Amino acid sequence: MINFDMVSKQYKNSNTPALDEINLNIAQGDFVFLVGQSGSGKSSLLRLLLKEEKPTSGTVTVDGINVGKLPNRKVPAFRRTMGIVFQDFRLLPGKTVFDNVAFGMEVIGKSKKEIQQRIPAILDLVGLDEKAHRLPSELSGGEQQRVALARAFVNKPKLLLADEPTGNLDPSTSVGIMKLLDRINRTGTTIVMATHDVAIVDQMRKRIVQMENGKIIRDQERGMYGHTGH
Amino acid sequence: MRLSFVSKEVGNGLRRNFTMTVALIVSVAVSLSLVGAALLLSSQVDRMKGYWYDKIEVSIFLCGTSSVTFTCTGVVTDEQLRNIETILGGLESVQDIFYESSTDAYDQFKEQFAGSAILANISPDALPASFRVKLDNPENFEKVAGALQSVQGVESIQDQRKLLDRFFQILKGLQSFALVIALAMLFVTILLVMNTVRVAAFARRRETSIMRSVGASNMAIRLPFILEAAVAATIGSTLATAGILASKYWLIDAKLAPNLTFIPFVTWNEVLAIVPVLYLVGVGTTVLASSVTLRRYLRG
Repeated sequence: MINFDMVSKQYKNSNTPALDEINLNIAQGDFVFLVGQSGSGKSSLLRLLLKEEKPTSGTVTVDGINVGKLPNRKVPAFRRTMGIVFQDFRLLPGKTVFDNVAFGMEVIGKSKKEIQQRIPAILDLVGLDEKAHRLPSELSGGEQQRVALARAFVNKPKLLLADEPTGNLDPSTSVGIMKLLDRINRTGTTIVMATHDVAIVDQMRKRIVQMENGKIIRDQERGMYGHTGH
Repeated sequence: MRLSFVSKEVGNGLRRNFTMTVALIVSVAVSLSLVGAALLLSSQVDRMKGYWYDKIEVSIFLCGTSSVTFTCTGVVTDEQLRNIETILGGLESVQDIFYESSTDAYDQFKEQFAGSAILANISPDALPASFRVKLDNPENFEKVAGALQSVQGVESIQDQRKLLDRFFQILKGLQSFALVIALAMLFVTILLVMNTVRVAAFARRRETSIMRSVGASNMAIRLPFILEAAVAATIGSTLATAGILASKYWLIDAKLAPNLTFIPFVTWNEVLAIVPVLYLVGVGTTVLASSVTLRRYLRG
């Protein structure tokens, strides 16, 4: 599904590379935690997957597509194959839960019929079917992140990228979000989640990719945050 | 994207950015009014040229009682008159010759200044007799003047075109002035469009970032902004058009034309021909300016 082959990323105004000859392989249906301190290269890795940046050297392949060589006009179609959630939810404050999710479908030209059919199902999945007509300001942080997840997943992406999705949430709310991500993962969707959240990582017992100074220093199945497993 | 969704987004965008939208509409309306005025003035000049150049004559004034030029020795004689007529008849560029006697001239003068006090001070023989010559082309005046300049009995030769040309020069000046201001206003409008679109793009960076992340096409991301500018420009163009049509109806047709019957004014067809140009310039410039701006600010 995802393959990094000797990928380096060097930003213009920096002396050290953000990513230093990374090799990483993620299979379809995997659930991967990307851990490491701020500045360790997690965000750069995600940005390369989204084609927000090009690798300085090496190749990034997603679902058979060489992302670095993807022409700009094909980027929108490429992004439709993935869903993204962020720490800050990125909801539109003036739109209801329903309309926020619908927005993600409207702007890529889904039909009204498809929208009407799909959204109740997805809101049911994230447990917000009762709150479809609330505004984001009337929801808790956890609920807002559920809306963001619904929007990311509504177009049935093969890959879901999550950048610190629990970073703004309290531990008990975070557990709910993780359960939801696990459920999405079990539909066959590959999930890559960058996080600092030790408790979550330890609890989930999924694959862990730990980064430091642009290198992968640990890649472990069913790992825990603080333990190297040795 | 569906039309209903796009139009809703455009409506929201315009409302949220209300003051800038109004500024844009007014700016487009003013600059296009000036463009329209310049175009109208240009067809007005063309129309008047066509009308008057057609009527232009060369006047050859003959010697009268008070003439003092060296070709005059008192009132023109019959012999001199016949000589002049022969010379005129032999000129190729001369199409028609009318003779206006002193008395004819006085009668016409009486008609023109009926009821005026000037009339009492003018005696019939104070107005000279003249030949009115119509040329195949007004440009050929010099040929006629050259042939008659030093002929006995001719007091002076007057080219009416010279009088008209001065008048047209003034109109041309007005026209260029309107055009320069119109271009300056268009420039201001372009800057305003760029700024408006930039502010709108900044205000909606969250929307556009979401759109990008879910894979909306560049066109889908930019279209609402371009359409907003286009809608504002269309309203502005409509205002400018209304202004132009109103000035044709209430100013030219109602006020000027009945009082200045000797001037042919622009027709409705000529006025209506300007309307599509206004829309094209107004909407075209804004769409172009907003596209260029978005290319710079919504990269990704």
